[in-house]
Amino acid sequence: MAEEGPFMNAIGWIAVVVAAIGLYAWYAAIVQRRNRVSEALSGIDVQLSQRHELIPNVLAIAKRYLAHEQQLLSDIARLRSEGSQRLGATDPKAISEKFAAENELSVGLGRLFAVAENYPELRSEKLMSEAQATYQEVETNVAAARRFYNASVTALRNACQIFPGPLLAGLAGAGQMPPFFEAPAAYRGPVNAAEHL
Amino acid sequence: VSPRTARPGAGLAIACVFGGALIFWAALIWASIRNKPGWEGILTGVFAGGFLALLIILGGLSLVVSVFVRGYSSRPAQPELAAVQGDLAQTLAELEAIRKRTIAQINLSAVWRVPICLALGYVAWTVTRKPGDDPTEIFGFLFLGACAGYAWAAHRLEKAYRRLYKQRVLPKLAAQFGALEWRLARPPLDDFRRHRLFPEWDDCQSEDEIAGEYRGLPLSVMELRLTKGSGDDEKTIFHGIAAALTLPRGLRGVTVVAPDRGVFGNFAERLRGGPCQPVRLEDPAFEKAFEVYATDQVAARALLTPAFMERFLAFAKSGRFGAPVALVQDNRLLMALSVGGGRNLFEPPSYLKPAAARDALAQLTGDLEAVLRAADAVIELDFAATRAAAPTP
Repeated sequence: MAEEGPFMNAIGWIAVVVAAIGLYAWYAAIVQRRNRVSEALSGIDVQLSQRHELIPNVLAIAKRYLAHEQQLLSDIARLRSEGSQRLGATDPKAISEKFAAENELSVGLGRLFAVAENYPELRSEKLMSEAQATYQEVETNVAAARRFYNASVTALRNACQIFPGPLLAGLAGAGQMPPFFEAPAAYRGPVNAAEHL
Repeated sequence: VSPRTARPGAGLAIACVFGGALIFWAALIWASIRNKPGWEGILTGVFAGGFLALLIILGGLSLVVSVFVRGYSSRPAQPELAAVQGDLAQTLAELEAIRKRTIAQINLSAVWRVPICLALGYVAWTVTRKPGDDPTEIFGFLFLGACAGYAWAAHRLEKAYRRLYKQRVLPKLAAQFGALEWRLARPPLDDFRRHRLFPEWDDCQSEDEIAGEYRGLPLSVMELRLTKGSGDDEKTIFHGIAAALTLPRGLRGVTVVAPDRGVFGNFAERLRGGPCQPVRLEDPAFEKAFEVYATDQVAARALLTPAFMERFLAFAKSGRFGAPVALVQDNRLLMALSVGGGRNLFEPPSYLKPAAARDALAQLTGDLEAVLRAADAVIELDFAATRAAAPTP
């Protein structure tokens, strides 16, 4: 019995050291994933600012043909201005608001290009078709940035919500979970195949 | 039908063939009797030697006829040409003339190279034989010597003819499919190594490249064979088609899509480091089948849209090619598609076949169609992806 004491002590110390290393590795993983979310968020901002830069040109061309769509054009200008101010937000609530505003802007731009389809003169305008091609490229990149961001948020949430994550999340500066960047509701509805045939 | 006339010296050549065969027969009878004195040796020498002497006479006469008789051709080429029109027909007619000259040159060259190698075969037999060896082994040595002599005579000229055939015919066939041309391949081997598209390889064989504009996009398709080791240990790492395409996109950075190498293989790959980081994608089936590495996470996802991933998977499962490997550098998409079987693509017909041989032209056209189908698949991958990515109001 007297010999079991040091042996048990050694096992106890080994268990403590292993647990400490495990907790540190988990903590490091949370920090790494939190930083990955920040990187993804800044990637979204880069793409959104490209979208914002495109809008003045589109509006300038559209104004010449879509005089009676003033409401739509001014809504887009307003949403762009609001979206630009929100770029760089890091607070989860501000990020959620930014995403909502950007989704609204995306839907507005989509509607503008749909309306433009009804105006052959506007559609045949070289600058407009170039703007539309650039817009599609930018939207592809926004979607890609959104997927990267959402994948990063999922990884961070997994690390923070699976034990011992909840114990370490606050310590690692990930107390508040960043929101997901959902695609606009208008784009998530069922597709009517007949419209595309 | 052109009249056939013999060149001077044909009679002497025929006499040499018969004389040589008789001497060979007599030598064989003598060797056989020496090895097995008595009736058994005599009969073996007479019949085995007679049969081989007959073969020598037939081969020799065929050679003499092809070298000394003008207007001789083993196959009529004219009817084949009738099926081909225009520029290609003209080119094939020129190649047919070159082919005939090549055969004549090879035969002339063989007239002295084959005897030299036969003599060397005889020397090799005398040096290596031991008392009690079967004297008929000499035929093996002589046969190998004759083959080596002919191969020596034909190798360089045949290679030159095949190269010329490719240079002249492939551009014309390729032009039927678009603004395409054939050229000597220059595979981007440094990129392959830098981004570890394939497991380690030692040697690369890539001769043919079809390049130009196809379906409005700059395209280059080349055949590629990567091997490791040499001799009996040579292992083919990759054999197939590398199709490179400049996409009408604003992609940036480097993205590599490689087949999944298993838990340990993927871990080892990550340990090797490099500028590319693993990219985790949402499609579980794609994640299971492929590993993606990229220098830019957003650009990788801009390329690998859900539609692109779905079509990429369907393409991999179609069975037309092995698991595809993709390398995207900025807007340049390169896909390596392995093909089954060991046959090389774009192989011109042998110099023994007419230049306008229908089966050879059909084979080359089929190879072109195969690589362009691969290019179609690559183009469709991106077209589908960009169509799907375009926002719908």
